[in-house]
Amino acid sequence: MLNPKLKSIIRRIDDLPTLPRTVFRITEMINNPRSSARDLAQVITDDQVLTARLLRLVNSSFYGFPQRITTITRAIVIIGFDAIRHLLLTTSVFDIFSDRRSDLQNARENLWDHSLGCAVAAKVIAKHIRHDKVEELFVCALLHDIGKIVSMVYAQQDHEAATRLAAEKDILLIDAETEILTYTHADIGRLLAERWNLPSMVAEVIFHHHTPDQAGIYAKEAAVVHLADIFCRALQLGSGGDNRMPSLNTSAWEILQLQKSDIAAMLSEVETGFNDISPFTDAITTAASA
Amino acid sequence: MRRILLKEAQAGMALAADAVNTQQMLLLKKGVLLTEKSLQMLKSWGVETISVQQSNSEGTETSGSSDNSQDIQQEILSRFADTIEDPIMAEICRVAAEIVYERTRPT
Repeated sequence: MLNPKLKSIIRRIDDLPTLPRTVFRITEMINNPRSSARDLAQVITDDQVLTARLLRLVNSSFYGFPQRITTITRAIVIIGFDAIRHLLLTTSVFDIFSDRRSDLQNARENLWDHSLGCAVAAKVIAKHIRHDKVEELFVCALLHDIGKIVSMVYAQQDHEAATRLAAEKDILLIDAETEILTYTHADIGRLLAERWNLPSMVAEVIFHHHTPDQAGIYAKEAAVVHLADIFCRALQLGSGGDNRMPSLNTSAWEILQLQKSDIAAMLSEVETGFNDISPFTDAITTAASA
Repeated sequence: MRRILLKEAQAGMALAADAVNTQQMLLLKKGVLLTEKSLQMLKSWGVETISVQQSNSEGTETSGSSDNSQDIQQEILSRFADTIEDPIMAEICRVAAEIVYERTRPT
C-alpha cells in the first residue's frame, strides 16, 4: 500500500542499494528470538567473503585480542552474539557510504562520520537513561541519514537542489526537501529500512528523527536519536550536509527525563567514544580493501 | 577600559572583560581581540554592550596562536545563536564549545 509520495521516490530512484544476502538473513534472525549463536555462525560461514572480512576485523588492533581468532564460532563466543550482528550491519552500511565515485567522496566521508558520531551519542544517551535496547539504538542512529546517501547517489539533481536551498536559506535539509521535493531523506530512509527487513522500530525512528514527538510508541527511541543528532552536530563530528542546528524538541527532552546537569558528562563520553571508535573505521576500510 | 555599544565595536579592539549573554553564559574571554566573525556572533546572541580596552597596544593578551580553535568555538556559538531561548541548548552549546576548543587547541 504505497502512497503517491513513495511511488515517486521509487520512480526517481532506479535502484535502491541492497544489503548483502547474508546480512539480510542475519537481520531476519534478529527478529527471531530463538536464533542461537550457532545459527548465526552457520549463516556467516556460508559466505566466504564476509567470513574473511569479519575475521580480519576481530583480529585488528581495534579489538586488541592477544591471540589470533580463526573461526567465526570463536569470534562469536569472545565478542558476543549482539556485537557480531552489530559489526556485520555496520560494515555493510559502511560499504554504502564508501567511495565509488570520487566526486562524492568528501560528502560521503563526512556523512559517515556524522552517522557514526550519532550512533556513539545514541549509545551514550541510551545508557544514561538505562534503555534496554542500547545496540538497536546504535543501529537506528547509524542509519538515521541513510536516505541522504541514497539521494546523493541515485537522485543527484534533487539532492543538489535541496542542499543548495538549505545553504541559501540556512535551513535544515529536511525542510528544504519538504519545500521543493515530493519526498524527504526521512521517507527514503524508512523505505530502505523496510526493504532491508529491519525491525519496525528502526524504520520509524529513522523517519521521525526530526519529529520525535510524532513517533507514537517509539517516541522515546526517536527522542534518543534526535538528541544524539544534536550532540553530534554540536561537537562537529562529521557533517550532515546542512549547517543549521535543529532546535531541541521539547517533548523529546521531557520523555528522556534527563537533567541539564547530565549534559556535560554525556558530551564528554561522546567525544571519548568517537575517538575510540575511529580506529574501527580504519579497520573496516583496511578489511574492505584487503 | 570603557563600555561601548556592540554596534560601535570594531575588529581589532580587545575585550576588557568577559562577554556574556543574558544567561551569563561566557561567549568570549577577556583579552580576546575582536574579529568581524566574533562581532557577528556576539550580535546574534543578543549582546548589546561590551567592555573594551582603551588602547589596543599595551596590556592586551593576544591569542593569535589559538585563533583556529577560537574560530571553531565561535562557529559553534554562531550556529546555536537562534536557539538561545532554550537553556538546555545553551548548556549543550557551552559544553560542546569547551570540548571542541580542547580538541583543537595546539598542545
